[in-house]
Amino acid sequence: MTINREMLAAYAEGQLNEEGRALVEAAMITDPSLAETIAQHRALRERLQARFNPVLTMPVPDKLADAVRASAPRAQIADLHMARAAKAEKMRSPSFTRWVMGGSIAAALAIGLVIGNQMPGRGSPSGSDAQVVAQGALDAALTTQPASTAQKPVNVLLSLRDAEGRYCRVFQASDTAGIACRDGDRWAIERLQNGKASQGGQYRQAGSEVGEIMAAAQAMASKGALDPEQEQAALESGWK
Amino acid sequence: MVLSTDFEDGIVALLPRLRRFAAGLSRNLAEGDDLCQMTIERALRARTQWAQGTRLDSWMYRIMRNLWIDEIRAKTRRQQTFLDEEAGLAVGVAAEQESHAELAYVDRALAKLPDEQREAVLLVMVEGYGYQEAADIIGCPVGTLSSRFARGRDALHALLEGAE
Repeated sequence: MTINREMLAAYAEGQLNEEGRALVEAAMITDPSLAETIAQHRALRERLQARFNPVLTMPVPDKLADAVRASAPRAQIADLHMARAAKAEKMRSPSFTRWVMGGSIAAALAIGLVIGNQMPGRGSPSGSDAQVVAQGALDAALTTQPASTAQKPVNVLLSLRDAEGRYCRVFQASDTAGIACRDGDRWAIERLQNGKASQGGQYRQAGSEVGEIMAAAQAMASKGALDPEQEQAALESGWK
Repeated sequence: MVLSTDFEDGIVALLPRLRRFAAGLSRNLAEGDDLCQMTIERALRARTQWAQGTRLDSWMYRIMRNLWIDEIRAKTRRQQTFLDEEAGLAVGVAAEQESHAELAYVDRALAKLPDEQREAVLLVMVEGYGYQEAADIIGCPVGTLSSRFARGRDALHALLEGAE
């Protein structure tokens, strides 16, 4: 049997069965050019990999990682309460939402719950520079309320631990949803989505802020949400 | 309550490989990233079609490959008609170890392969898939894949030898 190019390529890629391999190897003994072809094949593979493998170690653009999180459908929200909350949001009058990151103090101030330390007349707690932290009703709710109790003015939706082991909690107040993470003795606002704000260029469907925040929370929670016992224990230990 | 993050986590873990395949298909890292983004969006919309327990990577590669063939290739080809071939199709890969000339050789040679041969060569030699897996991603019989791969490999070898 003659060994054709296709068989040689398959041999070089380890795609032949035992019988095929034996045929090729027997032929190689009598025809040294076959071994040379296989060596060329391997050189070509190395060359192609040298061309494209550097992509593997390049930093992945944020837009791709964000696309995985941002497009996560609300259907996967596991918690029934979350689904209800999302539905309730959807029934509100049409409003546009936008992403704001933790640094967006204006949007935070708009709901009157979150006050950064840049506020005039306020003390400036150390180590929190431009960070937005929870105060007042939000701080109280995050510190004392168990999740999944429909409470006003702030509803805590779930608790989780992020990759750094910090306790984080998803909250909702009026048409704002966010994620706060415990930072020392305070709650730092990691993400905030305001249903009323329409600037910033990125318009989203009305009522999507809870779904968006939940998708972000899912990405943060390596081990899923805390169950009620874990949450109660964390609450009693001061979220440390 | 358990948050199901397996699907998203799986996609995030695949991103470097998906970018590599996209860069190979589109021969341009920026366009490859656009292809990646489209792939992610389509995968998330079609997530119910992914059977848990089956390979997420093959499923994502299949989506990417089909998007490339159906929606991007024709457009790219029209644009490339106007490109000076010598300008190269430089994939913006950081090339610390490799000379620019070497990258250009490989890019130009790949560009000359028929699409069906290029995707077979990329899936097997760069992405490391076996014939059966590569055939499943492309949606062709394994014998067809084997033949396209061997022809593509020979053509690429000849092009690269001729370019030096």
